[in-house]
Amino acid sequence: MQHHTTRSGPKNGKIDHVRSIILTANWPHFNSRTLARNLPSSATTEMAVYTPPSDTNSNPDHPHSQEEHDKDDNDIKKFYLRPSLGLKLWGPLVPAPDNLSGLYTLVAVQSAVGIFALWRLKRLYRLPPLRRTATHTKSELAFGELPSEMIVKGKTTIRKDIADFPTLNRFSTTHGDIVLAPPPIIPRQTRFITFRKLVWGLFGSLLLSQSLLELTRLNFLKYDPWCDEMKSVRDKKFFNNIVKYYHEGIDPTKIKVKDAMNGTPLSTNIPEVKQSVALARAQVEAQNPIIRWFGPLEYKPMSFNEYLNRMEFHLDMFEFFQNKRNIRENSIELINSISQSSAGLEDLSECKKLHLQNVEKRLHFLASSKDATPAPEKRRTNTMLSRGVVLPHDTNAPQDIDLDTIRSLYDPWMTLALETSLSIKFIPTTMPSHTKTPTTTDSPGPGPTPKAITNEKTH
Amino acid sequence: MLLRKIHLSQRLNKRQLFALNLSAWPTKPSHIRLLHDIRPQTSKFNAQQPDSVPGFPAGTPPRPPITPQSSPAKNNRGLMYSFIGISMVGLMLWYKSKSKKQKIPILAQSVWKEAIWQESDRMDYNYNESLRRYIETLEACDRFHMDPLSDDYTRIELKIAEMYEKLNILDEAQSIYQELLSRFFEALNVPGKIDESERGEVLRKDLRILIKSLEINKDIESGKKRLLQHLLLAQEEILSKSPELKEFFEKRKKKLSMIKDINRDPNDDFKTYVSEENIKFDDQGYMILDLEKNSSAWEPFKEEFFTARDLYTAYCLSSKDITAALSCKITSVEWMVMADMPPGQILLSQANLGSLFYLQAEKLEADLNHLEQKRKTEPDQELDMGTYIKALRFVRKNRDLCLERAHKCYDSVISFAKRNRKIRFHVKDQLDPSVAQSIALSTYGMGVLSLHEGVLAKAEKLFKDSITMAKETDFNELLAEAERELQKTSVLKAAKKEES
Repeated sequence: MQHHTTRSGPKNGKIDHVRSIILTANWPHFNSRTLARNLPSSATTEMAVYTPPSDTNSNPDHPHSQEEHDKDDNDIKKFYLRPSLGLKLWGPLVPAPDNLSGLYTLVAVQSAVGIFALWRLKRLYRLPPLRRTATHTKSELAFGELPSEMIVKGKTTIRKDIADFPTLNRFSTTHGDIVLAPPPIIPRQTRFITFRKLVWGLFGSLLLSQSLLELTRLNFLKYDPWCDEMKSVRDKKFFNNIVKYYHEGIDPTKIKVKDAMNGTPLSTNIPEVKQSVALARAQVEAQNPIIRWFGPLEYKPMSFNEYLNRMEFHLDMFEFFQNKRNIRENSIELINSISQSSAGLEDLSECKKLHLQNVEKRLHFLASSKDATPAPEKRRTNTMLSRGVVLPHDTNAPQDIDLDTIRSLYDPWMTLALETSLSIKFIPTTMPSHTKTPTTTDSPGPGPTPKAITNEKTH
Repeated sequence: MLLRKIHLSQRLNKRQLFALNLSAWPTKPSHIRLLHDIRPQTSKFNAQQPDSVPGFPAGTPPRPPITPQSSPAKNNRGLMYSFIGISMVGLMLWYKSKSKKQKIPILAQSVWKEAIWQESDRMDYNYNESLRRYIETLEACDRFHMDPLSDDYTRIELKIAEMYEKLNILDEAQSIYQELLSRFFEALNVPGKIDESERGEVLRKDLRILIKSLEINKDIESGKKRLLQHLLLAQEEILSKSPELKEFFEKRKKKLSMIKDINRDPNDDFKTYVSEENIKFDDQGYMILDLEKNSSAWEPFKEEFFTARDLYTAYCLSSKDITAALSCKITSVEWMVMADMPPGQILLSQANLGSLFYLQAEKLEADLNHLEQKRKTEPDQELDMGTYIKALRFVRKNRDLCLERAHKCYDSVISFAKRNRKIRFHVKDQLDPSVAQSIALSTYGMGVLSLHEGVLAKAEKLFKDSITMAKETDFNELLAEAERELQKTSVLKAAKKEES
């Protein structure tokens, strides 16, 4: 890692006793953000290419995988169910709360099953009534149920005008009531159908309502404590993995490290190489489908109660701050409306003013540089400030550039993050003490000795 | 033909299959009529299941009832509607998520590509031309009224600022940072302008630009003011998600009121935070983060936040306000533990706090000297002896307290390192250089304290230790200071020998 040193910062900052304050960009100053930018940053000096061991499949019983196996066994013991509002039926399959695609998939499957159940229920209603009064038009009764007037002394009867029975004996004495000997199977079937209807109906509506609940959580909650927790846990796990892999070191038989520029193999004991490999390994682990689905396995989500408490707390506080901001905004508007007489630029907010200024400056630059038609100035010295853009070999014209990859590789926000990652240290020095050191030739004279602050930045 | 039909209709006994067959049945009216024409059409009876009526011969095939023909079609239509409904909802959600990421107009895209081309190694890093292209890209974006808070728009602006910096036009770069800063600040302050779920990310960007603009900034006072504004905003954001932080504020309030009430010494409850209780180790003895501690409220901007706080501390020092710097740093250390920052950062912060305490002690000592000198120069002028002694005692007490606390801070780091084998014997091996640096700084700090007390031998040893540590970890700034202090010590030692 090269250390570029620039001196900047408050020039007139003079203090009595602080001899120096040092700002150093401490580059392995992790957290996902820093880490993510560590890899490309090392690309300028020595890009370590991580080649995953190709022979892992051929010898699956090497100690590393076994060790991981053991670890997995341990992890399974303390695996906690992932929390959710409406996907509880899935049990241990519930994905991590920040795994949106997983959550949506489960919600979709669950809704589909729910709809299917309701469809079954609907179909059961559609079935022609087994024994029902002849009218198939409308019946208040549920399917399979018999009208009460049809049950006489526990026996099922059908009250029918005999005239409606064209083929029956008109002279029968059983005018009106036809006593039926209930067939032994059919009542059981009707009961069974009622039961089935109940089950399908309950099942379907339960699933659908649960899906709806989960969908509301996913779409209408602005702040989801579980999701935030999961994100931070993932970050932390990533950090821990890097620490782990860094100290584990590199097994030269498994991993080969090559210089990206010329392909010469590098020693695996250089700290930078170790860092890059640890980073790459941690990234590989984070990309593991199981980890991506469930998050770090040992993560224990907060309880539902705490979830609710946090949510309530947030809602209260957010409203409080929002009100505060509203009041401030209103007062500013009021002031503006009072002093409306001074029209023009002063009316605009600071932001707009700056914007106009900047636009002007930019136009000015465009105009001036066009006039000058500048020869391509090479300021190679300044390229040290941040790494220059290196395009892939197959781009021959500006329009070949893949904007998305370049944007993600050289994201200006990432560059900015890199530049603003400082570590500030205060180094005290003894003051030439009056009581204990009456005469010292070396140190400056008595009294406060101001020294400038040194802000040193390394990255 | 009829036989087949009979065969089919027998199967219809199975109720659950019935509906299925119905939909599969070619529902030609004539076809059904064929089966049913024995019965009068007007009769309501035709819907009844024949086998339920006694007197019907057992083998008679049941007649399928005439169901309304529209029913399968209706069924399908219902299904279709639900599908349409679901896909509409899906589309809406997708669109909602898509619309957040505003696409950059194609015209601007091609100019942007040219800018990258100019900036790249192909054109030998032609920043001048590249800057022009970037400016044109931004103009194109403006023409299409792109959201100035969107990722791409700000990216181009940052790129322009970067180019300005590379061309050494620092004023312009600074004014772009200022504009971005004020835009973010305004957006964060106007309710409803930024989606609540994105506030964290926007704040993070805001803090990054803040730190960057302060690096170029020359004016301490305005920088301090701006830092305070933005830090307060970030703090509000954390507070809105962290009940723990609210508890912290309440506790502090209570403590303050207690101090006022009883007028007791507030100092005994000072504690250091570098301990096994706050820093977790993995099974191999390396420092890791605690997954179970919920620090999500501080995400995603906690690093920027603490860097900005450190900057504020430095600015306070620059304006000679050691007390403010001290209180800021004390809080920072405690919050860092709450936010579960990387262990190296916590160690370093604790060591830095020790340095600040030492500075405060030295300042108090200077005050003390000043008081004594004043008394010497004007021995009996309206100087009340009582108040003088009181003041003297107060200042002295405070100074001793500060020294003691500085000692505590440094000691906590050093003894923590000594207790843990992995840190003690493998300092150089640590992934995070700030671990080693904090230990070196603490050792050096202890040396400074010893020198201050006049224990020269101990100071010499400590300085030498810190020099070796600083050399190992390339901590050049400390190395220089430590060598200077060591020289001082040896001079003093020689002087002492001469005296005796």
